[in-house]
Amino acid sequence: MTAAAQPAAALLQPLPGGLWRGSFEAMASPCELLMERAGEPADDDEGEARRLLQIACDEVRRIERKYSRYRSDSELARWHRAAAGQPGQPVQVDEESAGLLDLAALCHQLSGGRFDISSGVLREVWRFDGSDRLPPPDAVARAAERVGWPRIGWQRPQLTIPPGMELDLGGLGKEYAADRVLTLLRAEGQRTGRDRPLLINLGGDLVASGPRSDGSPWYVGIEQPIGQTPQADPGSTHPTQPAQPTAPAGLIALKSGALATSGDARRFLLRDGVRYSHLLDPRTGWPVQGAPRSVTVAAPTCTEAGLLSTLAMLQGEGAEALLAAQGLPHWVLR
Amino acid sequence: MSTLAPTPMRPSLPVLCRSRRVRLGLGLMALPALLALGGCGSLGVQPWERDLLAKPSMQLTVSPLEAAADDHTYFSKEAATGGRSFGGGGCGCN
Amino acid sequence: MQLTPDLNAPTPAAFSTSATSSSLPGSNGTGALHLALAAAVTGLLGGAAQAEGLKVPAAAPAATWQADAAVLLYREGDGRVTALEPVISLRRNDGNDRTTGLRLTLDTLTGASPNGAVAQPTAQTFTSPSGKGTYTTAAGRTPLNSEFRDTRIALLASHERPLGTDQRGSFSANVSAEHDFASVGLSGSWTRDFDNKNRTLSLGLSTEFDRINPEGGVPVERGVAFAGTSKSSDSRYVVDLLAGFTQVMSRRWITQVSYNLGRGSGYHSDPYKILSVVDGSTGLVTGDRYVNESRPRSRTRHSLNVQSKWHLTQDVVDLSYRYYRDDWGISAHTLDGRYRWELGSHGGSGDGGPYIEPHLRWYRQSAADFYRTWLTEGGEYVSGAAGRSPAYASADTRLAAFTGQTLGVKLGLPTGQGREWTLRVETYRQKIDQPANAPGALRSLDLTPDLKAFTLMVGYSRPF
Repeated sequence: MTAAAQPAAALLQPLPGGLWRGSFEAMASPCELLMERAGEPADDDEGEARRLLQIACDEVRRIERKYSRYRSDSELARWHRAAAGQPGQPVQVDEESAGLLDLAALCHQLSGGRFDISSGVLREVWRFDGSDRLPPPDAVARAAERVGWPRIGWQRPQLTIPPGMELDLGGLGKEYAADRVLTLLRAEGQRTGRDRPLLINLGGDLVASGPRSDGSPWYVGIEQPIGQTPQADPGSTHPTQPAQPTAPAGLIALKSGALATSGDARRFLLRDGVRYSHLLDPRTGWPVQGAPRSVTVAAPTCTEAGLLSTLAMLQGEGAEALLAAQGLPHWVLR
Repeated sequence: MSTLAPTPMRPSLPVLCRSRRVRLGLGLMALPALLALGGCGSLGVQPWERDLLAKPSMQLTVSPLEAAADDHTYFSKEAATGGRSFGGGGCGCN
Repeated sequence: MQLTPDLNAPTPAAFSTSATSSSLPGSNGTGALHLALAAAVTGLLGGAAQAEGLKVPAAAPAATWQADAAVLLYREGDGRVTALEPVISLRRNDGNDRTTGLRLTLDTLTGASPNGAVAQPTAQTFTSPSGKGTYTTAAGRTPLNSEFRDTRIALLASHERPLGTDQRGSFSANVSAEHDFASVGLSGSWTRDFDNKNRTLSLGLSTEFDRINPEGGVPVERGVAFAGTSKSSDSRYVVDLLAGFTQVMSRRWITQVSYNLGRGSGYHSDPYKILSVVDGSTGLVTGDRYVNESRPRSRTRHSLNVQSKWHLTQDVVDLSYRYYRDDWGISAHTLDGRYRWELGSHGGSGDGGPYIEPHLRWYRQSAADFYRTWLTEGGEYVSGAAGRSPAYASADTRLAAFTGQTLGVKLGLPTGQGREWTLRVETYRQKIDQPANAPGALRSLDLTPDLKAFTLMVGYSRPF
């Protein structure tokens, strides 16, 4: 694993409708920051927008650098090196990591073991390339032996990773970064006294600070699994309104809060008519049975929305039930 | 909080157990009914719904010290003993 | 008698374990998962607490301790028994779900207890158990053995740990001693969870060995009272089996059924209790006057217990019923109800506030086959060397037919950081069935006066 090449600079461009759009690449996704133009002289405003964009870009890349499993200089890599170098010895983690690990532990508990950040090693045997090549069962079994959050020693702030096991915070990273960016930009807005409506979209996981200054919502397109259009909870027995009656299909209206999607649009295996979703059940090492094609959840923060959509996917057939019990807007596609 | 169209909430009990009579009967009847639970196999909650059940006030024995003191008092005044769990030691109060 | 360790383990004692997987504090709406996540995420993002009162369950620290202390004051009316019972318990969770606990109980008893003889229209004098003195009962009063002073000390040690997926085991040992009685016991239990911990099965076994060392020795059962003793001590042992089944019925309702089978072998009589032998027409003591009681040397007991708890919006209702039956002819019903009324106004988010818990208990038992308020001379009992006596007879009101009613209230005051004070006040009243066909003078006397008792218990618990 080597350090990634210097990332491309962030790009700022004006959009019709009084918006700035900042875009950059991070976490292997296109990221954008939509900011409303403030009613000041254009020059000052553009400089301001650039500054906010740079803060956003820096923060997302900071989190990526810290928790990337592909970088040898990441914090995650440090944990794995310490575990390999001194087996059984705990490594001290910082406050931010401790918070993420506590969140992962909580999700593991709440999902009855289906959410497990030590399940990354299963990646070594499963290749979801749309083909019909399933891995041999004994290879899956061997990899599954190296999975199991209860075996990870986590006693805040000390982390002990047993030999052969690996952690992967990819399931939390993007959504957490979106929330962090919003927190920082809000703080910056309060500091300068110019709090403008903005929306952060990291590859489909997005969060808005609030409605537009005229009170209207942000319209965002959501990526669909091939051949599908979004409908509000098809499993519900009660009539529901579509997301936004007057918006074109594929758009969602967001006034505030966050939206996150879990889906298997392009990552699956198909064999003998059975579709193996890319979502693996850490308890067995095999794909989750009956997982929906995609789950989209709206919640106050992106981290919550992302975790709820992941937890719902992991429930397989029980996705709708889990989401129905939360009382949050959600869309499940099967 | 987003103002997207909310999905209506479903009742938390599956259809089979929504009948109040069934629930009351099941709860208050003794061993035979609970042992024959095959017919109502969807009792129970998901792990994330255990919030209330995990509260100290919802434990079947809230205060073991009090339970032990009471058990000891009633043991020395009444003939019936046992039934649930009870700790402590023997005493000469028969 | 001890069956399962009941030391307030973080996962509740064996037979009530089922809803233990999560340590989440409360929430009163649906969407409990979402709220738990929201709390954790706001903590993570450093934002202001959106969900007041909800706390993220922190990863288990190295070890946690829990200390509980309480003092019980028990006082019966009419100069009867007064007991003061301080107790202290210490529990340690090693952070890996293994709990070890120790509980020390001290029990100081003073006062007087009925000795089994019936009241008489004249004063009666009895020899005290130690044989060194006498005591007198006034006319018309139920005789009480006033030499009733004792201190008991009891120690209970227990350990509980997971035994594998969804299984837990526990083991405990207890020892108890007072000047005329000592007991040692061992018990073990195993619990298994099913169906996402919605269903729990538990099995337990407990054994106890008691040594009875009465003052003045063990009286000859069925023999004339105050006439010497057969031996200095006797013993018995008891084995108990307990099977329990707990089912989570819904998010707000949990229920448990358990069955207990016990068998005791050995000395079961009360060495200090006697019966009066009275004339069948006058009701006055006659013939041998007083005889030692005698109970069977074995006892088989069954007990079936059903309990349910419901969490309302904020308050909790606890209802239980027990049916008891043994081979001495006693059967009993116990109905117990509590209503925990949360006074705090946080909308049910966690056990953070003070509460008041009224308590009602109703108890009814039938008499043992060999229970007699008195023995009639010439009937079952014939005095003299060539006489006869029933194989078993006892006037101990514990074996009589009676109704017991408890009315109480408990006040709980959490003082933050998991600490809590509790105050409990209860009154207990036993109404013993009046015996039928009291002969002669006995007809005008209150032979089975009500027992009235008052309990006060103050407790404090604190984690550290």
